[in-house]
Amino acid sequence: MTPERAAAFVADHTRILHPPLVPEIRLRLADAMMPIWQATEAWLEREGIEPPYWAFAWPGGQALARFVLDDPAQVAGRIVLDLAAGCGVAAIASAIAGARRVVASEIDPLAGAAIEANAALNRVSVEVALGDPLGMPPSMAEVILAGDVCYERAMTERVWPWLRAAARAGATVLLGDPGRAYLPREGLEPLASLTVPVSRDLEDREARETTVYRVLP
Amino acid sequence: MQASDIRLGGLVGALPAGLRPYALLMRLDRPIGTWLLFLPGLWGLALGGAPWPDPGLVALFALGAVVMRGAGCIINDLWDRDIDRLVSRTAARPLASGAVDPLRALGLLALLLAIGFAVLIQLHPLAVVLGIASLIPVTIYPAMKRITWWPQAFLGLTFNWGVPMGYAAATGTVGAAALVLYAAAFFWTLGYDTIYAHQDRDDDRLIGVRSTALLFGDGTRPFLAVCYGAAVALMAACGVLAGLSAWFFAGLAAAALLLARQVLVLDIRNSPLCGRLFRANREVGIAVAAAIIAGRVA
Repeated sequence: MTPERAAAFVADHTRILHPPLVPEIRLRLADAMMPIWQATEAWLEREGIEPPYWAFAWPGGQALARFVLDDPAQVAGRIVLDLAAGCGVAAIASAIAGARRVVASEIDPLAGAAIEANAALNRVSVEVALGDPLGMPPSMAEVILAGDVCYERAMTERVWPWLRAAARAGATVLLGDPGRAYLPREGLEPLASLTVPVSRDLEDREARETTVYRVLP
Repeated sequence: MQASDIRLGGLVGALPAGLRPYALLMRLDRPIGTWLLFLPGLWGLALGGAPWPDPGLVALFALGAVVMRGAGCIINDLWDRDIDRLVSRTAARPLASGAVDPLRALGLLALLLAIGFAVLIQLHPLAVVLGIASLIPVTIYPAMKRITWWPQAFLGLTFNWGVPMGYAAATGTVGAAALVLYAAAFFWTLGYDTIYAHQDRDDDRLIGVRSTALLFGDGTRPFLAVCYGAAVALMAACGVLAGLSAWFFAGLAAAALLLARQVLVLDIRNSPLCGRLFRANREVGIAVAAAIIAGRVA
């Protein structure tokens, strides 16, 4: 898939919305789940792409975004890596908060296109890194943001030891999570609790209590 | 995804293959950062010229700009080498790709700093003191970025340190005219830094400092006009204070036209254009230097 086609797909299937917890950020998002899910399913068969996680601002990412906007010193002047960045909301918030360099990591090229479009919408620079960063040294960034990465066992089992290693290497590792099934029970220090309005479509409820944790070394 | 940001042409391409990674580490493929560090020093030397700027001092300042800017880039790349490997645009950089190992990079850094120090101690004692004092803002700059929303202001103070230093090297003093010229250079930097922020990301990294802070958006053009206007007004004030001849004001008018052109053609959505406009500040700096020299000599 060419970057142009990916960008066109993102533009065609989203509109510009303000995520409820961070209304100062504008994002290209899908306002209903089904059409985009079906649209990407057709693509999935032809081109082998991922489900469109990038088309929604998940509560974990929104909570991280709110957290760094309210306390810019967490990221200002530092290198920030947004892991499994999705729509890039936490990465964009970090750039607004004055991070020296923001890299948004994603395995999905459509997510990469969405992040680039969203960063441009908010007039900030976010570098997209496509591929799996977990083979790289966890010391590469000074701040690592991970929003909603504990919804699937296999993913959590891969991500969690890497996040702990990053914390041991001296990085500030922040995890935003609305109580997903595979959230580890230890090694987390809660820093802030936020209520994120969500769509019933995606989350089966109107709001999710979301916590920003610091991952302990 | 973007292609690599390395440019293998010109001077760097002409080097033996074994030296190229070191040249790239110093960003010799992107000389604009060196020019923007050197030109304020040249202004200071020209203002303190008697009447011509001392060619020996000009050569020392040029060498100092090359080595100190190179040192800044190496520190930056050492710091960023792991994250650089993750991003396709930066993965081919010498430290990220492994073409240069960190120990050798530190060796080159030590060599450049030693050359910088050797250059510094050739200067008048006041310039030596100023040069050492320049380490204060350079050192606290990263910390300032974390606590202030105006890191650009700090960048302007740091990057133009060459104005009072150059004047001190030439005359052994720092007069009011030199300080007014320093203020002018500060506003010039504030202006071009906003253009820089809109070009392809760190396409021409200066000395390893830059900001991803919220950009001015549609307010960029008026902001740029105010900054460049203040810069030109302060340069004119410097000319009056220093008693420069009418030739200075003629030259300054030419520089002002170059700056006005940047304000007029700026399109923040066109990053290649922003890159060209940013780099066009080399010509602005040269025009100002020529104006000062003309105002002294003729």
